[in-house]
Amino acid sequence: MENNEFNKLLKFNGDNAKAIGLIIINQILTIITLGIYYPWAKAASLKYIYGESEYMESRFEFHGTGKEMFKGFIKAVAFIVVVYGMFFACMLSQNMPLMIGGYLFFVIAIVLVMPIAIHGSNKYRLSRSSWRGIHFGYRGDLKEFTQLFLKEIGLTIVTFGIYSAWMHASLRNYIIGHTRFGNIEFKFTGTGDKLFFIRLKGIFLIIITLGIYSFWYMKELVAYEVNNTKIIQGNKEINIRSTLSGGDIFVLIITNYLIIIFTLGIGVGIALNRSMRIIFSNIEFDSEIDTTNLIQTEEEYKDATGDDMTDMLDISI
Amino acid sequence: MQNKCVYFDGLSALAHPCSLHIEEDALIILLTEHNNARLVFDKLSIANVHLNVNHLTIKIGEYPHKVIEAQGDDVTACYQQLSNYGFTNAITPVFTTYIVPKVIAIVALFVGLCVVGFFVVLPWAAEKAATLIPIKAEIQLGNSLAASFTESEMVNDSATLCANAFVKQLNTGSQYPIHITVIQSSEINAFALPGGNIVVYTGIINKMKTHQEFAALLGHEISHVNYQHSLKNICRTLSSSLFIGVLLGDVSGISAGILQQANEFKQLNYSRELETQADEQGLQLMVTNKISPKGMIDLLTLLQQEASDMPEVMKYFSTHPQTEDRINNIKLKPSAKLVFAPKPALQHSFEKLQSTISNEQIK
Repeated sequence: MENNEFNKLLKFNGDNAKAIGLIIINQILTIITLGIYYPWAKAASLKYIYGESEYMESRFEFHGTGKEMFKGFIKAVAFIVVVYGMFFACMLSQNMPLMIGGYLFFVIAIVLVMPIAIHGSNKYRLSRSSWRGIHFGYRGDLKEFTQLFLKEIGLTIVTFGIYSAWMHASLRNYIIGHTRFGNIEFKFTGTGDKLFFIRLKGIFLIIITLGIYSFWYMKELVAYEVNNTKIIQGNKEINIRSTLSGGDIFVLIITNYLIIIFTLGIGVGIALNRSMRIIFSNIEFDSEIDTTNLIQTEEEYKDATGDDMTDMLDISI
Repeated sequence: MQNKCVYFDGLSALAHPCSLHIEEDALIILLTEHNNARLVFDKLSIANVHLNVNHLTIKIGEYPHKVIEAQGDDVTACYQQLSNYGFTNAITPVFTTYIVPKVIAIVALFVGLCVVGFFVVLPWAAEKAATLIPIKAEIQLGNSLAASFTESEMVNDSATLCANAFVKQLNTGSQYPIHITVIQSSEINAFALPGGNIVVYTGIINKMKTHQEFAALLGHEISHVNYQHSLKNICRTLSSSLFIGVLLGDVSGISAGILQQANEFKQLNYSRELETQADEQGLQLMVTNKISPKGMIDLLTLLQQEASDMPEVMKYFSTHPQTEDRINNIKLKPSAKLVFAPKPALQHSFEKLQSTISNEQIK
C-alpha cells in the first residue's frame, strides 16, 4: 500500500439484537445482585465490543473474565470502603485536628491510588486484548509513572488547573509510549500547547454559539487523540487520522437520543452499535501493519484491580 | 468447505490460509500454502468457540493461544457440527437460540420481583424502618419540618396558646409532646407532622360549634402522631423514589414519569387507610376522656358539607376517603353510641379559643 494514501481498515460489525439483550441482562443482573454482577457485566460488554471490532478482516478478542475482574473489584471496593469509612469517622468525631487529618488522609489516599489504578488498568486491559492471537501489553513502570503523575497533578493544582492540558498530554505520552502490540510500539505526539489551544477555543466558541459548537469541539478532541497517535513497526511509522466531522457527531448524538427516548431506554444497544460504527468508519491509516513481522512478545497477566479501581474513581483514560 | 479460513500460530500475526475439517474428537486443518501440511488439535485443547454473524473464531490451547478464524455463509454449519460433536464446554452459546429465551425469562422474573418488591416488600420495609427511628430523632425532624412550614404562614400566637391549653386537659396517651400551632387562614384544614406537632387552620375552628368537635379533630390528628403516620409516609415516599431511581438510573425520564404516577396512586390508597385508622383511634381517645363521640360525627358532617362543592371525580382522587364512608364507619362502632355529659372546662377553653380568633380578625 502506498504512503500518504489513507485507508479505512477498522470496521465495527455489531448486532442490534445481541447488544440490546446484553445491555438489558447486564443491567437487570447488576440490580438484582446489588452490584456484585458488575464485573461479569463489564467482561461481557468488553467481549462483545472487541468481538465485533475488525481490523484487516480479523476480529479483536478480549480474554478477561468476570471472575478475574471480580477479584479486582473486591479489592477496589475494600479500598473505597476503608478510605471513605475513615474519612466519615473523622468528620463525625467533631474534633478539629482529627477532621483536618481525616481530610488530608482522604485527599492523599485518592491522589496516590489514581496512578496505581491507571497503571493496573492499562496493564490488565491491554494484556487481555488480542488480535490474531497476538496480545497487546503495557510496559509502563509503576514507580516511574507514579512520580510523573504526582509531579503533573501537583503542577495542575498549583496553576489552578491551567496546566491540566499539559498533564493530559504528558500522561498520554507515557501511557501510549509504553503500549505494545506484539513487537509493535506506539507513540503519542500531541502536546499540551495544542490541547490547551483547542480547549481555550472550545470554551470561547461554545459560549458564543450558545453550545452549538460543542459538537465541533468534540470533533477536535477526537482528532487530537487519534491524529497524534502513531504506530511504529521497526523503522516504519504508520499515521492515523480521524475524518469524523462535527456534523457527524451532531447527527449521531441527536438520533441516538431519539432512539433511546422512543424505545424507553431499550435501544441503548442500538445507540452503542451506531456510535461504534461511526467512530470506526472514520478512522483511517496511511498503511497496513506488516503482519509477517508482528511477533508475540507479551506474557500472561491476570490482575484486574486497577481496572475496577479506575471505574470506581471514574477516571477516563 | 466454502469458508475463507485462516490459521494464526500464536507467535506472529502472519495469516496462514487453511481448510478446516471437523472430526468427532479433533479439529484438523490443512495449511494450503505449505503443501497442505496437517495440524491436528485434540478436542480437549479447544479453549473457546465463538460465533458471530458469518464469523467463527476458534481459540486453541493455553496462552499464547492459536487462533482459527473462518468467514462465510457456512460458518453456522461448522458451529453446529462442533456443537453436535460435543465441543460444548468450550462453545459460547449463539445468541438467538440460547440467549433470547434466557433474556425473556430473566426480564419476566425481574419484572415480577420488581412488582412484588415495590408493592409489598418496600412499603413493609419502609414502615419497619420508620419504627426503628428513635423518638428523639423523630421529634427533632418534626420540629424542623414545623419550623420551616410555619415560616411562610401567619401563626396566630394567642390562639396557639389557647389550643395548647385545651389539649393539656386531655389525656392523649401519647409518648410524644403534643404541640398545636394555629395558622390564620380561612382554609378548612388540619394536619399532623412527625413527633407531636399538629397544625390547625382557623378556618376549621371557626366552623365548629362544640368542644366535642374540636376534641374529635385533635383526637384524629393525635392518632396520626401516635401511629407515626407522617414518618411512615415520608419513609415510604423516600424509599419509593429511591427504588425508582435505582431501577431506571438516568436512562429514560419517560418511564420514570409513568412509574411516579403509579407510585402516587399507591400512596393515595395508603393515605385512605391511615385516615380510617386515625378516625377510629381518635374515637377511642374521646371515649377515654369521657367526651361524647357524637363530636366525631359532627366534625365529619361539617367536613362533608364543606367538601360538597368539590366535583365527584376529584373526590375519588382526594386523600381522605369519601366522608360519607367515614361517617358510616364511625356510626358502626359500638362506642359511638356512648353519651357523656359536656365538660364545662373544655367548653370554656374552646369558647376562649374561638373568641381569640374572632378578636384577632376584628383587629
